[in-house]
Amino acid sequence: MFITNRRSWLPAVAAATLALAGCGDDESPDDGATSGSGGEPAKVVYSLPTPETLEFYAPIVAETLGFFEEQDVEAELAPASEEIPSTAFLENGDADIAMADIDELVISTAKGGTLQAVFSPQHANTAGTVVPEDSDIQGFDQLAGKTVGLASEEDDASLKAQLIAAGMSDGDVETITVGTSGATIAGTFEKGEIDAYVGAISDFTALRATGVPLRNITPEDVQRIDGNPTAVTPETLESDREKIVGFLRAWSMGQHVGLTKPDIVEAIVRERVPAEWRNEDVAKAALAQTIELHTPDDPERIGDLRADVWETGQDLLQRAGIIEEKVDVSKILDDSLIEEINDFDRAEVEAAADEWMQQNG
Amino acid sequence: MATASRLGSALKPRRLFDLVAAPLLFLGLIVAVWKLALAQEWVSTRVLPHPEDIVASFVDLSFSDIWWDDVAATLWESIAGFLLGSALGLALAIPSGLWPVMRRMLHPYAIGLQVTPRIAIAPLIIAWAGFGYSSKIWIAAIIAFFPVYVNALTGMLTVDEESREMFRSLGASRWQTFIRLVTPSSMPVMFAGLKTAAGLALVGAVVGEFISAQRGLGVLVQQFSYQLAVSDAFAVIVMLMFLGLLLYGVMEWIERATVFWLHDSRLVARTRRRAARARKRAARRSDVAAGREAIG
Repeated sequence: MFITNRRSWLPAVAAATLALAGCGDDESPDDGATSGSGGEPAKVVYSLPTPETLEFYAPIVAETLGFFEEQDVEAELAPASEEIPSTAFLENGDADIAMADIDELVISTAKGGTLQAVFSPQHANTAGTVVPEDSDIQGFDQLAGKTVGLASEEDDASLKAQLIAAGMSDGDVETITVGTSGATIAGTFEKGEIDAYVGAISDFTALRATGVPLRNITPEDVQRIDGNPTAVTPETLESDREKIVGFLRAWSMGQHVGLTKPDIVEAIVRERVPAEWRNEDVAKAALAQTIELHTPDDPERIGDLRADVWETGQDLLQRAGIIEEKVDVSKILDDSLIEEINDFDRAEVEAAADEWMQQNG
Repeated sequence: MATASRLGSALKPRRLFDLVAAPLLFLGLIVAVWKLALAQEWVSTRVLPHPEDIVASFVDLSFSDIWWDDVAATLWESIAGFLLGSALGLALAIPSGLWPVMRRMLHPYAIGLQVTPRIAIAPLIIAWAGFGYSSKIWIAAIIAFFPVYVNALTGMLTVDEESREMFRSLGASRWQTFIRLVTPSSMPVMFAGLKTAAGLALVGAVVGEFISAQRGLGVLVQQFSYQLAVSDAFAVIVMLMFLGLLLYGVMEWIERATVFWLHDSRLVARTRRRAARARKRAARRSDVAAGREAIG
């Protein structure tokens, strides 16, 4: 049999593809400039559990209004799903800063890790438990004997913490994993397959906005636990302190715009993430929810670390059997950057936002 | 002219009808059952929207600038992942087919790679390839690798023994046997693997986007699902189907061009073209000879 010579291009294409796959925008945080050397802005790779989203509006606002540039920082988002522990990216050097859950950081420290939480923009929990508005269940302690739906297996830890906070135990409830699809959650409530749902506040917000009334029954202790504190390695903190502070200051500036000019934040995120505005009601509700989540106890100390909240969180983790021994929370928390991070002119930030709105609104 | 003729033949009303009638009829049946299920409230519109809502979303998204960057991103990841996975699959299948010791060495790991959950190795892939397109391309390549490897290997190992014997008796070298017998004999099975891999590469690209991505149809379907914009989410799925059909169609076309002997019409057409070229060459030679005689 004779064959054609058309296959002669195949090895060249394969080699080109291999070369291309090795290229692309995959610079590690250690490539290129560090602290603004040679006049170039310092690159900061930050990991979030989502792609660009209004849920984390602060970096979007910071980039749009030029706050990162002002701080001599070039911010690069490294998104990864929640199933992947973001602490892994810090330890691998793939990210300079990562948002990690409190339990992730406590567990990492308990196993000998040295990650430091330096900034906590969300002074409320991003997870919780809801029941239908018309449910007979008024408090978490009334869930005994009921069926609780979980967003994922990982939410089992969140459920355990809430059970302990309410004076209950594991065996008091049945659980089934429902997933995070709003349609599925609503369906399982309607069919009576679950009595309560444990998941992200963002899921509850979407459901409420589409006409599924829900009531939050998360125990108060658990509600106060910080959502997504920001962690770095001590090595990065030592060698690149300036760029970390610059990045977080720009983030705080963006966060401040949300606290004072939410309409401008809405205009900015509509432009940057139009796909999230296909359902206007959900988007507006989600933005209002996230701005509330990002409201600090003290507006002059955005990102402050509250040791008492961390102690509560750790206590619940230990009682839930997720950690055997508590760790010294002061080893994890480093609030030495908070004052520097909040050292910016709030009036100037608001003026910059107003100017943008005049030009683009 | 030959191409225009083939295109014209393909677009003939009868042929077009034969191509689209059956799938459209099946689609009609699905839509009828779908509408019945919604009308009878067997399923909620929150879970399964009306088909006309999906069509409206698809048209709306197509005329907006919301999803085209994501379509391009997913398509690029799929194509690059397919090419990479296929290249790796062939690169490992060929030595495995030629040398039993290589086959025994590589086979368990190829199977192991196939059954390993991608989410488990995702941090490794991201650590190695970074957060950009490369990680998605590698995840797509890993998923596309196995059918190409298995089919190429199977094709090589199932070459007709009598043909092999004939090549040996004619004194063919190992290289000649590989090029003239093994490769063409294994190509039909190999292409079956390539066609499967094309679709799987698309799946892999979307899986990679679920794990870590800034853009892509996987990201978009998650964004729409979160907002309970279910029609939009289904529109994205329809777009993914079209991309899958496109990739499969391209591989079918390449197969028809490359493995032409499997298709009677292609074989006849090729034979006629060769005969026509031979006649032209013969006519030119006789013209040249006649010219020389006239000069002489």
